[in-house]
Amino acid sequence: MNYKDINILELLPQRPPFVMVDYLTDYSDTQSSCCLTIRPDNIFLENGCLASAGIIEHIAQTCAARLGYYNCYILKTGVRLGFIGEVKDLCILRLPREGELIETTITVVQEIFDVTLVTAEVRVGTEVIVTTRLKIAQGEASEGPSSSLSPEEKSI
Amino acid sequence: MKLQDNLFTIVSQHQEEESFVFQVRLHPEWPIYRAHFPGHPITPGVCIVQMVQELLQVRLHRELSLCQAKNIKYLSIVSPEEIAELTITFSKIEEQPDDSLKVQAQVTNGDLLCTKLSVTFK
Repeated sequence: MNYKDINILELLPQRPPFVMVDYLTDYSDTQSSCCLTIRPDNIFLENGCLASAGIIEHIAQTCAARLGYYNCYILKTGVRLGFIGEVKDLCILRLPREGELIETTITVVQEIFDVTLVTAEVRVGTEVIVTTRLKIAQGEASEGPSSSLSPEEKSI
Repeated sequence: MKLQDNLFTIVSQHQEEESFVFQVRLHPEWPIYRAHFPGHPITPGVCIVQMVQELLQVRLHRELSLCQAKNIKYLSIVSPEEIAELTITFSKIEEQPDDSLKVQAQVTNGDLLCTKLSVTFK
């Protein structure tokens, strides 16, 4: 399956302009990856760089896209709301600049009921720029925005 | 995107014995609430971190950027429909030899602890 063909809005509960991943690039039992190009209209762009809040959100949405894929394509249920429970051992070596493509890989460390614990690595090419651990909690299953994409969302 | 005066407004700020305290009012009409999430407005956790950073910039009159986090714990969801004001308490602001700042802060609404942060800015 070519994950890049999936409209990311099918996998995420967030909507533009608060969408911080472009598409899923890889998915396996324990790992998945997403990428994002830092565009001039990104709401977290500051002084030519993606601000730290934007990077953390991008990592959290990389987890959300994984959970969304699992819920929609494997369980065949709807997208669920997700929340950051904890950010731990975050290290930002540098912020990505406008125009750069970042790719983030998350590795699942533990899944207990609705809480997923991951380690994450954000790269520009082969350069690692951010590492962290994240705890994501999923809310109750909703009807899911995926079932109600508006015509303009479908064309993105 | 600056969050001050978009997501929140500073209501007051004062020094206490061992801490510095800000009171802020949230703006439920902030357009990002319609994207996070449609029909379920919730203050994004990452925006709480940025709010803490912006308040510290106001306090110290200098630009800051988050470079490390020992941990940031989110203990309660902040919904602007239920929570109108937040209290941000800085219990530690410690200058390091390399000019970075080690900061401990917590975000509360009355007795409700929403977020605890142990972070480093530079």
